[in-house]
Amino acid sequence: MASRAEEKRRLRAEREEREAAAAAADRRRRRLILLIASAVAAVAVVGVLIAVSQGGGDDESGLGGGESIIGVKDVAQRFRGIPQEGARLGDPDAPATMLEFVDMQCPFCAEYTRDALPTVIDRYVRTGKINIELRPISIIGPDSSTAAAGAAAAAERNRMWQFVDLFYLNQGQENGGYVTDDFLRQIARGSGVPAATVISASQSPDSIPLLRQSAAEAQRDGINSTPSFLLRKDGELQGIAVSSFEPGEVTAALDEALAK
Amino acid sequence: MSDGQLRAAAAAAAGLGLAIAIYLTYVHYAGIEPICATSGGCERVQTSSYAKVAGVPVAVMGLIGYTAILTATLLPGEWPRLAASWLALVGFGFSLYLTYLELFEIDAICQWCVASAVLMSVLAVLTTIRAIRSESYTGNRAA
Repeated sequence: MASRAEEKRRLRAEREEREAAAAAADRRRRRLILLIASAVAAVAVVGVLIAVSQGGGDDESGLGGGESIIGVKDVAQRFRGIPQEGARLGDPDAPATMLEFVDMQCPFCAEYTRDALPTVIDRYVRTGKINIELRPISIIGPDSSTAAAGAAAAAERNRMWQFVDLFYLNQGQENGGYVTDDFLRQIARGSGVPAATVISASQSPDSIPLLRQSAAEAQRDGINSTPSFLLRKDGELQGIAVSSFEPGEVTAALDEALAK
Repeated sequence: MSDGQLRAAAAAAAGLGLAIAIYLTYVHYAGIEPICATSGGCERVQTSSYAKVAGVPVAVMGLIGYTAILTATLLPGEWPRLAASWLALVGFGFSLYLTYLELFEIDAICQWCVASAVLMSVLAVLTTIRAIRSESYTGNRAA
């Protein structure tokens, strides 16, 4: 009798152990599923946050997700590590300063920036031989002022060169009406400038000191086309005769001016 | 490391993160520059167009996130453990994205944001270990 009772107890204990093990395995499996689902949900939420952040970081942003600008990374790369203050790119103590008069609607300014500026930056600016100051002026039309005002707002944040370069990479037809608040907002965002300051500046370009100074200098120095280049060295101004935007031609003209 | 130690470490990390978030939220609304080791980096990051998501400042999101993680870590039970781990994973993913933005888009680094990203990574590890372990612990107790 005793052994039968023992046998029963043993069998029951075994059964209970099996059931407990099965329940534990079941709990483990459920928990694993829960953890995986939780991780997947976390990834999804982060994805939504990123999408929202990319789609409209600003209060006043009305951009849809479809519009986008090109060149953000290239521009960030091009100017990385170069000191910038206001309209100036490069070492403030460089022995010479190149003044670059531009109209941001002008396709030749964009062409120069695309084709020759990277070489000028690598050979002259990064090496401390010159610094460059931008002088945005308005020749082509009202949108030139609007764009220049945005660039001046970017200068306040020491991001003018990124702003202007990114603007050129996304430039439209002259007086084609593409310089809208949305466009400026995207350029601002892409160049790391608060969009609100750019939009606000673009509404009153006439009151911006940098633009008034640029216009006055252009008038004084007889600048009537863009891009135009002057070299300031030892307190004296001279023209740089750039005949084409081939990097070799530009550097030759710059070398000649520097040697004078 | 015992569960108590993990919990204490997670609470400490969440507390530190919360302190940073409170400071950055204050700086954001007071309109002042944060104390910054990199010249202008923090201001540039905080005033960049990425400093808000759908109108909500990232600093405020941090404030909410760290408060929620701290609360979930201190509460007893299974669900708070899972919730803490889930929140920390979301925070970790978003911190990765923000660090990418600092390095490659805004091109400026802010030590407060880096400190927060490190704390969030630590939290993700600690809370996930707690969430995975908790079953075996309750299992042991039942046995």
